[in-house]
Amino acid sequence: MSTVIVNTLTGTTTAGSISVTGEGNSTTTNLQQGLCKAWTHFQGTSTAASVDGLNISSVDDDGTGDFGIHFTNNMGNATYTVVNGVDDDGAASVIIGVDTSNGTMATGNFDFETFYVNSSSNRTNNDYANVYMNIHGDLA
Amino acid sequence: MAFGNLKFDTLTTSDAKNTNTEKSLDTSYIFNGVAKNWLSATEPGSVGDSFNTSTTTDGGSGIHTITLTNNMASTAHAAVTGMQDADMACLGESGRATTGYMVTLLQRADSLTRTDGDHFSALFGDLA
Repeated sequence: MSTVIVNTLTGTTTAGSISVTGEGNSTTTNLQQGLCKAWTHFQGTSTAASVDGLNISSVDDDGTGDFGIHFTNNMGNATYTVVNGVDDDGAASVIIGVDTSNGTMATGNFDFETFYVNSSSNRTNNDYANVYMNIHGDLA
Repeated sequence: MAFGNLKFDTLTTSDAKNTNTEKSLDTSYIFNGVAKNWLSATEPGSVGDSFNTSTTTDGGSGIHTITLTNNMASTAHAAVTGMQDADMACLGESGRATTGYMVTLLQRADSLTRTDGDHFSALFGDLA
């Protein structure tokens, strides 16, 4: 069988668990656990927006370098994983970062901040045009 | 119809959540594209939730080593990080291995210093 045409994949033993054979042809990995549950190419300048993404229903602009992400389909718990990247907009000699805001992670949304640190300034919030975020964890 | 074990090369679906048009996906994107590990940690050595994590080790202030349950095929894997209330999360080169990876957290006061804090990571690459 070379092509399977389906609308939904569901495990037979456990509906939410499908094993996929890994690249080494021996170990299996869990498909559902490995899938990214949400991602966004986020625009923090001008009007904050998710320029492209998956499972993102809306965004908040709570101030300079202070934003929120809302999911279309909620996560199963608040201990999901948020990994990220940010374009430096051509700035030099600075460290630019993204972090989730303490205490804001919930099943349906979380807040995050974008900022820079340089040789003369400790953390300073700033808006950036291109922020990238992947969310891994359990869907509800 | 239920299959216990299904072997195929291409998956075609209706993409019902978005365009409702038929889209095909070579299965190499499935096993290459899924994360082989992810981790949400409140502090080094304290895991909130994770996938394919065997153990974690607190290597001192701002150093967290993650050991996998199922190893990677090579050390050329891609780990990505995030953090909460720390200024920067990096990968520790000395911790890169087929068995796992090392996350280091940095915070800037007058200079960049390692610090403990909440952090996230995910790992992509080839399983052994």
